Amino acid sequence: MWFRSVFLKTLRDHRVAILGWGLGMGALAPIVFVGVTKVLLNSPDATNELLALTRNPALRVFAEPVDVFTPGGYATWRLSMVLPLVAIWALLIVSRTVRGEEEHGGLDTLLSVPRSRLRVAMEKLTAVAASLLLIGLLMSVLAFAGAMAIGLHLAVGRALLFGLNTSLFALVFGAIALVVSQFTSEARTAAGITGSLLGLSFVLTSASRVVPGGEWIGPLSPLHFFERNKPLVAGSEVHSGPMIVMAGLAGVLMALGVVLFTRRDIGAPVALPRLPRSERRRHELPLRAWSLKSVVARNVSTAARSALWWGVAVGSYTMMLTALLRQLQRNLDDLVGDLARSNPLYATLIASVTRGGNVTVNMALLNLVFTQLVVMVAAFAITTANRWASDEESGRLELVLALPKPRRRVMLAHFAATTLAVTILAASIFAGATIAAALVGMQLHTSRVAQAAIGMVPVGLVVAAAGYLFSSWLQTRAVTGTLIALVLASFLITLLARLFQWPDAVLQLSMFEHYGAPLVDGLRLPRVLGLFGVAGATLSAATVRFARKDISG
Amino acid sequence: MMPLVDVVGLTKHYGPKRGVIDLSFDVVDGEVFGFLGPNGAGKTTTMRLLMGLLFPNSGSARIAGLDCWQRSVDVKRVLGYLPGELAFDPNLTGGQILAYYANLRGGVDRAYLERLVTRFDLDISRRFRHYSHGNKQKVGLVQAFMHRPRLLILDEPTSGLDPLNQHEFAQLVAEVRGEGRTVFLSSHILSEVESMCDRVAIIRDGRLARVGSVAELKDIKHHEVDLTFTAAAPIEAFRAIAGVERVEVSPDGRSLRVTVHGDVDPLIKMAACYPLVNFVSREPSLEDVFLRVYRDDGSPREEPADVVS
Repeated sequence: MWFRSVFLKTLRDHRVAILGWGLGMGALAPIVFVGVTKVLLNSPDATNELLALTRNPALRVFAEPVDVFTPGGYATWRLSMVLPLVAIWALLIVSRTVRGEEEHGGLDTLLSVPRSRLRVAMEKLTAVAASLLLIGLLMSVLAFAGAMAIGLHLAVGRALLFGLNTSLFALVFGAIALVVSQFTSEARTAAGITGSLLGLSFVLTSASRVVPGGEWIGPLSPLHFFERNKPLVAGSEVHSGPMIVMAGLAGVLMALGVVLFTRRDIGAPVALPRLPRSERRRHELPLRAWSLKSVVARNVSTAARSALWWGVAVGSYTMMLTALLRQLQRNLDDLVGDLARSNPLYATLIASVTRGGNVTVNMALLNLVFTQLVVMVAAFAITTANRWASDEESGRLELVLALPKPRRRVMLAHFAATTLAVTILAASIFAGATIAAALVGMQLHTSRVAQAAIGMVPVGLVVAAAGYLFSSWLQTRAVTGTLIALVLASFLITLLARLFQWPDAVLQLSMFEHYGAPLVDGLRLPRVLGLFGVAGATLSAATVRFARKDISG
Repeated sequence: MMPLVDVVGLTKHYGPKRGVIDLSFDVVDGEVFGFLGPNGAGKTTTMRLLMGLLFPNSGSARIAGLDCWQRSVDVKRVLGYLPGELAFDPNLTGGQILAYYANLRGGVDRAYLERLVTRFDLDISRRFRHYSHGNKQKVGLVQAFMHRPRLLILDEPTSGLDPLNQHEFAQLVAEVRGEGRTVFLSSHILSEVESMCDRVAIIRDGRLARVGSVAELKDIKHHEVDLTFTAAAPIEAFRAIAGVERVEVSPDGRSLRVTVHGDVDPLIKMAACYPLVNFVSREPSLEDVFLRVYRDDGSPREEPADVVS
């Protein structure tokens, strides 16, 4: 049955992802529902901590707290940064489904059957849309079940809206990836650019909340339309307009992508005017090029290029969020001015957290940004581990391993390049935060920012080393999926464990817990060294396994 | 003299699936050794075992006296390798790929490398992703030959090459042999193996079916004899001749195609008893040998077939 059409075959290819993302993301709402009712609303300590969190002005940068003392409101608030990540799957899969298949030559064969390009593209994209709807449906079902479990009334329609809203948001980024991939030669590049646009979408939405008179910025971001509906918040208004906008945007972009796809050469990007290159040099053997001198140099060249792109994107993101935090302080300063006239005592209290000159407060605010940035470093590490796994899977390691070099050294050379790349990324985060702070007049402890950036390196290395180890047994997609699950689980433990009073042993499983809050507390050296130790031990296991395994080919 | 490649009882399974089973053969210095077999027979598995890319379940493979798994790094110092599925970084140009591997190998004679590029008429300015299958194969061949290795392991080396480049490749192999170096290659083009190789191994379902010189394999005395008589001939009489494996008869019964294993003298004597108008006898090509191994497992049929064409 599954091999009767391109649509069914593509849907079949997505079956693991549908279950993984649907159940994984879907489980979050019930977990939060149960936690909220059992712990948060019944424990004074937890309630106080939540109160403190909602009062933290920096959190407004990331999400608007609405009705947070209800299970639905709390879940909407805390998961507002997590649920849109389904868009990552959408942008990855659309890039792979069209451009990725061209890269590997699979599309040539598919297009040799008597079906038009248009039909093939439509069937594939319809399958992606159907997969996203199924992910959304699973999320809806689990949210509904979770609500029933705690005796919360959640109408079926609202539960379905919860999933549909997420699916439509993800579909928009799938459609963007489709258009972008028409202009790139590699699926990876298209995914990277679209991922950056996803990050920009978060920044624009934050800016619309924080920048005075910046409401007009919101509609520039698809996230704005996603956030308009909060179906889990009891009694919240349901807006059909934002969902129609997301569906329309996805439709228009998909149509544009398909039109470009049907009119270009297969295997090549849409032809754009290019500058002429020096032909003479290209006909010479570049024996002296530094990047071709050794396995380490080659890997460094590849990883550094990717790290520089990521560095520019993440560094810019850091700069923008740092600037937004300062803007938020200024907003509150204005509020202080108003309050000073009516209640001087309250005004003094608020002023203590809003002045850019208060370094301690600034570091605490920026710390919230850094908890996100360390996750981005982990995400970057996933891409490097993915590259290693795909190099082996696609046979690109075969000839390197045919050289008289120990396998262990080949892997270590790759990991050395990964270490450099992660360090470049951490350095760009440091640069982004300090430059932006200097520009907007926000005082920071530069040494603490440096410590926080340095602390991200072992987190990235743990993820990368785990990926190298997993790739000894698993295929590239499974390695990526496992690492994403690992990072998300780690992030969620840090996000929820304290509020829900999970056992300390669970908290210790999170690498982000070991990273801590270095902007506030400074770098906890034993923990950082511990992370380096875990990375080292995992890498050692990976090299031992790699030296003994069959190379796939 | 110790063989350059020495394979004894080599076995590899992929979980429950068969790879190769109990392979034993050797390759001596200075010979061109052909490895024949259809898809999935175990050729690539054998070559990857020799390259130390796979771990054998039992048996051993040695090159220059060194175990291919335990001493794989030392083994690879004497090797040039062309994998069956060629994969490089798609964003590098052919020139960058060759420069990279030349640097990693070390000691590559730049002039010789450039000569190889010229001989294969390879445009090194294009990115690997933009090469045709044949051009990708040329990059792979140049990188395998460029450091003048003592032993070349080439998996389907002429795959995708045009006739001119196939000819160039055959000449290169002849030069390598002339210099006393060794080539171990697999191929589907049997006439090519026949003309290039000194010895041939035929692999079937993971097991070695035949090993020998091309001459020896062809000398397994199978002859195909076409006989045309003025009138229908007595088929049973021809079937009864010792060594006759198969008799095919034309619809009018006047023409016979007889396959004989061993001595053809009794057949010729029997044919002479009837009014003969045409007689054609063919020596088997390597292709015939190969096909016979695959169709019949090389053993004579107990029941001669009677096929009407």
